[in-house]
Amino acid sequence: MNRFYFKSFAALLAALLFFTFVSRAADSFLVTRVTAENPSAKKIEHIVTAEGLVEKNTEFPVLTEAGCIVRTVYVQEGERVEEGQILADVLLDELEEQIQALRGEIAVLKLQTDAAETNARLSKEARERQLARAEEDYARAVQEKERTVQEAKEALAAAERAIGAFSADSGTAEEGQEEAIDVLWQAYFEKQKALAAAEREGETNIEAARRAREEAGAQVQADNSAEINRISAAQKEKELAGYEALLAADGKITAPRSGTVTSVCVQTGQRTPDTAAFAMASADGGVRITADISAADAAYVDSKDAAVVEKNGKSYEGFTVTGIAQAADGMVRITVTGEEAPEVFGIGDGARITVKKQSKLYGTAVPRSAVHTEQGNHYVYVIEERETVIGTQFFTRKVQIQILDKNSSYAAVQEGSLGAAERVVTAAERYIQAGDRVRPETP
Amino acid sequence: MRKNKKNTAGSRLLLILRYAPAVTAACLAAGPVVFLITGSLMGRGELGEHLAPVLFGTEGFVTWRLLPMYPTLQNIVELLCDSPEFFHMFWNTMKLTAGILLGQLLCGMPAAWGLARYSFRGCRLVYGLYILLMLMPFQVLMLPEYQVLEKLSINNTLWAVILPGAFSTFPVFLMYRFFAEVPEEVLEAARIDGAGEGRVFLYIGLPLGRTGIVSALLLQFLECFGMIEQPLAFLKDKRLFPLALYLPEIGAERAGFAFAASLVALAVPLLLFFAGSEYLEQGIAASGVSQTPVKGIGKGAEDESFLL
Repeated sequence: MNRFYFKSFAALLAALLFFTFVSRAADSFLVTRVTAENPSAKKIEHIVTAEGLVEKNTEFPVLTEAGCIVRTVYVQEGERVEEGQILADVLLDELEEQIQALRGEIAVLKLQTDAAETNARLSKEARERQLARAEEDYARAVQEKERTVQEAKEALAAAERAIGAFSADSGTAEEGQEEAIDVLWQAYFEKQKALAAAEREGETNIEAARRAREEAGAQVQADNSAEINRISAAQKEKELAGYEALLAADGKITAPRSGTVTSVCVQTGQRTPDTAAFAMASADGGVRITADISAADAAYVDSKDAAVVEKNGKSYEGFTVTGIAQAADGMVRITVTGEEAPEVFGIGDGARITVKKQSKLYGTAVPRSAVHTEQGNHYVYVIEERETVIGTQFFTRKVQIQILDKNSSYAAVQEGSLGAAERVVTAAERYIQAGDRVRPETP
Repeated sequence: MRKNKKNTAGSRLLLILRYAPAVTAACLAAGPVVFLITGSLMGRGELGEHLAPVLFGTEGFVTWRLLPMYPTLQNIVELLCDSPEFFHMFWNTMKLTAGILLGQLLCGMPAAWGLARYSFRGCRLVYGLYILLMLMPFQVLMLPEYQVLEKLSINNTLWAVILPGAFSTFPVFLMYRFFAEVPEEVLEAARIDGAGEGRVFLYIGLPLGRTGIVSALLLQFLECFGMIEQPLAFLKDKRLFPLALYLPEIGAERAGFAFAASLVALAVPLLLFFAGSEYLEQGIAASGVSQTPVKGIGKGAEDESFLL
């Protein structure tokens, strides 16, 4: 045998054996590795996330005593303060002077009150005495009238009886007797007049006594100066108590509870107003967060939807979408509120809002990463097995689909386009096309 | 001098005229090989231009160049580095060929020795049957072979091709010729020296019949390497197909790859052919010469006279 050619033959076989391994290795390396999943029934969960800002939900004033001169203001608008933190302080000397002045005013008011009360008591006693006397005069006038009228009546009755007796004794009228009877009648008429005069005089006296009694019983002019002084003194005392409390606190105005300063109404060197010195917002009444989302995302957010708020890497549930409104640039502003962990959320802090909503159950859903789009048409690649000369191999096949619903993870597909046993390519290590050979791997 | 010059020119002309047909025939015979080499070095675009009437059905005729306009090793590299199916089928072919040759060594060689060197009742009949089977085309034997293989439950396995090939009659016939030419005196001397029949076969028969054995194996290798009908008939699973069935399946759009695959497939038997050409010539000569017994050979050789 020709050794050269025989060695060449052997070398060729050895080379082919080598390239057998090379081609196998290259094939294994070059074949696109893909991950695949079977379509499954799934509810499409829409998750809308947005970066939001914590806003003031309840605002309250920080009051202090008016008229104090501010020494230092320690905070500014937007600053978050804790309960008890000093917001400002006032000049103590001036505060003490104000306290002393107030105490003096209160003492004057108390003295004025005492004087007014004494005067009122004396006036009342005099009025009571005058009334008693008027009552007595009235009773006396009534008695005097009754007595004089009774006496006039008795005199008239005596004159009447005298006339009757004279008439019965004479029987006939004689010239001398006529004069006597005239005298009697004259007397009688005089007695009548005297009775009438007595009655008139009695009435007059009674009327005068009644008027005197009414005048004595009439109310005197009201005098509330004592009460007014007392009220004024109470107000001053209350004011004094506030100043004294401020003094006891060394003139420091502190935050009544944790929150964020939204307005500063005092200035150094100026007097404190009788309105609020500071305005603050706190989350005591709940946390309110707003965020802008796209109109597409807004389609999946409804009022009263549950929301989760994430801040500093921690999630807080119990929030609810309470407002959806149009915002600028076609965005939609959603507002969520909740009672969770108000101490964590400061006004102006950032927080991530997540709203989840589940659709109905779809029979066929595929991972979103499996869906490709070409000229508005959606398709997926499915893996099909083929028997080849080197065994079972896997190739891709393009399947057109119609998407019914989708989120960032899954897409619900019109039933019928994909079978439950189909293996849908969800990821490939490089670009693939229909008919490409692939190697499926377990995801 | 002038006469000598005329004689020289005439002899040269005669020489050219004498060899011209041979050279022309050789060039024509080598044409496909050149075609393969050139095609395997052409890119897809260049091949498309030349083979458009064949590949795409356009009008006109196929054109060709002896050297590629834009030579590339892309097809070779793709074949060697990115076509495991080619190598899978190549080694399928090698498995089939090796199995068949091994079977022929184990079965055909002792059979040829026995027929050539031993005289027994029915010897001629058996040899006649061998010759008869050798003359039968595969199409005739296909159905019975299929039925036998089916009974053995080895259809659609490599054994379905290896077993019938291992019991092929042609190598027996070829080796018979060479075993028959071994001098009987040599064998007798060995027996007198105490060698048994096995030792006679192993130490005298095989070395002296080596030419026949090698030539038979070479010829069988060349036949097995390119066999199509047997795998096509007995193998259904494509994973078992040999290379000869793979090459026609390469699509027209991969013509360059097909050229490269064919070139590599050609290289294997070609190198083996060159390596054993000396034996092949003798084997082909032996299979084609008159069956006159060689003077001094054994009994078996005398029995084959019925074929003449």
